[in-house]
Amino acid sequence: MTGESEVLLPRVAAAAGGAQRDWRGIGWRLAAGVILLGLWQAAAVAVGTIYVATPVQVAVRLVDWFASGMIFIHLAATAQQMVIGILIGTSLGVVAGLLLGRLPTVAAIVEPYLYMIYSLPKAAMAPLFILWFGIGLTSKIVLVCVVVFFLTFYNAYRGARETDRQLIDAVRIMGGSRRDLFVKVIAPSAVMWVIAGVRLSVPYALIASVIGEMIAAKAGLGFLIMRASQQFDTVGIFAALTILMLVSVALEPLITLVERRSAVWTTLGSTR
Amino acid sequence: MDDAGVDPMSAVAAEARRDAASLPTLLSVRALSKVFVRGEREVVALDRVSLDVADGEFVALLGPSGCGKSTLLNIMAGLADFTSGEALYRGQAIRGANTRVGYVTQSDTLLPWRTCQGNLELPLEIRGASKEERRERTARYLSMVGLAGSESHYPGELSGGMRKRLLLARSLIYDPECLLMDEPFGALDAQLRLSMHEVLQRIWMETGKTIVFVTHDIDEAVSLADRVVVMSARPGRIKTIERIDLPRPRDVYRGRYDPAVVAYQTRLFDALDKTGEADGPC
Amino acid sequence: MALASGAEGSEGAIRAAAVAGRRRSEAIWLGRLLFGAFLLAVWQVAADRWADPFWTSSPALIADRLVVWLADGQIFRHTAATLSSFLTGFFGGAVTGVMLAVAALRLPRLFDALQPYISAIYSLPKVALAPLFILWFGIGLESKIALVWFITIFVVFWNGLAGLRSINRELVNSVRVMGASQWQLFTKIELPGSVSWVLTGMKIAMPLALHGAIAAEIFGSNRGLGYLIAYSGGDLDTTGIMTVLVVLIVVTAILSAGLNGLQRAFDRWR
Repeated sequence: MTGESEVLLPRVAAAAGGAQRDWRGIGWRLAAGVILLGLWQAAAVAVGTIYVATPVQVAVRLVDWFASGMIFIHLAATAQQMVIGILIGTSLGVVAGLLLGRLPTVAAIVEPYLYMIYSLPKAAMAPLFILWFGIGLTSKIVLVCVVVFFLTFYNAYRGARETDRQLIDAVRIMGGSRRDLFVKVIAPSAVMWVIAGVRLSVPYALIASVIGEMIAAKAGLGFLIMRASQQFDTVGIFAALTILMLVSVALEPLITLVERRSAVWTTLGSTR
Repeated sequence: MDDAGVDPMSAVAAEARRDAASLPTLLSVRALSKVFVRGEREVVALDRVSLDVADGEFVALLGPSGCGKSTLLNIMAGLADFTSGEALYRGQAIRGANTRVGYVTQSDTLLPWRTCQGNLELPLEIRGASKEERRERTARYLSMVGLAGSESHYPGELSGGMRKRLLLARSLIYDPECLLMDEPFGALDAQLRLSMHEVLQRIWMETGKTIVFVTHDIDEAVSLADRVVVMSARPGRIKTIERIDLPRPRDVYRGRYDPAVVAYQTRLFDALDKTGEADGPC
Repeated sequence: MALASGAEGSEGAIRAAAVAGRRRSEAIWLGRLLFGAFLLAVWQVAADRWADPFWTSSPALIADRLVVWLADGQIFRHTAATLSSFLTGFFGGAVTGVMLAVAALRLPRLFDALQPYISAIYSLPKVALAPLFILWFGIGLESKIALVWFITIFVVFWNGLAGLRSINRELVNSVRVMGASQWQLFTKIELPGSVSWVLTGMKIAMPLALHGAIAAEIFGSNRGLGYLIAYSGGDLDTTGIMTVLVVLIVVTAILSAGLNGLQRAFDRWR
């Protein structure tokens, strides 16, 4: 048998030197970055710092924020809203999705109403929640919760319904009972969908949290942006936007890291 | 002729069984038709197909890529219903999934969240095999298809050919009396495919399973089968049935150079539809 | 599951399946109407009996307000304001996005150098830029148009680029060998090949852009549906907020239907 000579993708392929650093490309990117900074500076000078803060001003402000530790209060507020909202929204979404997955008729009836709420701008719902729950963390948590709920719900629902027809057929041929099908095929398949949903919902949770803060809050990244804007503090606006951008960019690799660390795949793959 | 590594005594015994006049029929379809609607058109996937598959026979369904052959296999597996006619397994109508067969489908039905080992153990878990038996069998069948060492890899990490072999092992591992195979070796490279032919022939000769094998490859059909059923697509009908009277065990590697084999290949080639593939999946 | 043999058997089965399917979807629509009516009834009863309509509003109150606002023209005025900023920014952004995609294709090294920065801005929630745009362009329609334009550019750009890249390079080369100019290449090969991607991009961008417009109006505006929400919010007017939400749902539905119709018409034309 020639099994051993076959290449296992992608581990072996990667090790075989597929990843070569493209130094020239990186060089161009750095150069572009420097040029962009220069253009930024030029724009600030040309238009006036009321409209565009200079890179130096932004840097100074950021240093100040970090040194005084004030930024961490706001980062914590936003993070807190996100985490709690994700936890609650995911749980509700999974339960609702799996439940309605088994009751397709009910799901079909309820679906247009869910979609109507889903289609509303988060910014439009925020004032309602702030009216109901005040300007503290709660209203933002509810907003994040609603957004995350819909994402995980749709994913869990599809996971419960659309378990690959062919996988089910194959297990039926093996002699699988209905319980076998649920435990060994439908449930694990749904879990995969749910994980995908959670992953997807993290950036949306950030957006929801920030929007809520921008409308009314006592702390948070969105709050920082709005406060700066109300005080015509252009440097503050730019600094807050920069932090927000850094957080958004860092979010994706962070999720991947958490995913790899968690023992999810091993627990799913184990046989008892 | 023992380079295939088969015990000659079992080969002769198996051969004799097959030549017995009163062979019990395992699978039978009579005037089987399947029509389905696609948009506004009616598609006749199967048109009054009749076929008896004897116990222990190796039957190949040969035809251009198209719906009829896979549909027929699905009906035999109890996964699809049909518009008219009869489909019987051991004399009884096939109702619901047929759990006495193993089914190697064209598509990949491995569970992506289980390792190779986990996937292989699945049918054994379902059928209540003990832990030791599961371990012993998975090890045996993994090495049988040449995947020893890949126990803890996930299907996503395997190449297409390796996944196909895993599927084959999974369909064999619970020892079904009948095996339905839908172009199982199509994705493999030539050498690997031939070695799989060898494995399959050996298994068949040692266990006497009934095999219904769908293929569009004439060489494969002649190499493996007792009888080759040539089908046409759209509508799916049986054009002709050719009995392959070549002695066993057959040399899967060098058989193609044997004039007797070539004669069969030529006859089948002439019998096939040349109108090309049916369009669109089922 | 063997039915009667022969042709009648097969036709009968197909017809029966079609009838059953139609009956089921009729039942579902009925179920939806009943469920909706049930929800409204529960809401109204709750508002009348034990809940405080100050917090929950009620279908009756919302219906009343809709009538009032329709009569005095507020709905039309504000919807028109939102729609005009949205549509201007949306189509402007779509065209710009396509142009940028073509440029990115023609200047791959420039695009590659700029890519990490483009991705960074792409991952930023663009609604957060609204205060900046309001600072720059004022609280009138211009800031909203700018934000919608900005949001739309990104989505259409990415999709358009993917569409352009999906066009077989060998096809492009053979057409070039035939002697086609850049413009001919664009109009005859690249544009048709990537249009469906662009339309998909527009479909994705539409809700995002609309939400952006509304958000910007909430943050600082004197007109528009978002302004109406913020105004009602400031007045602690739950009914007002909910009424605008209802209008929003209707407007969004009409816009998506419009875009879907556009896509279908385009598919047919191909």
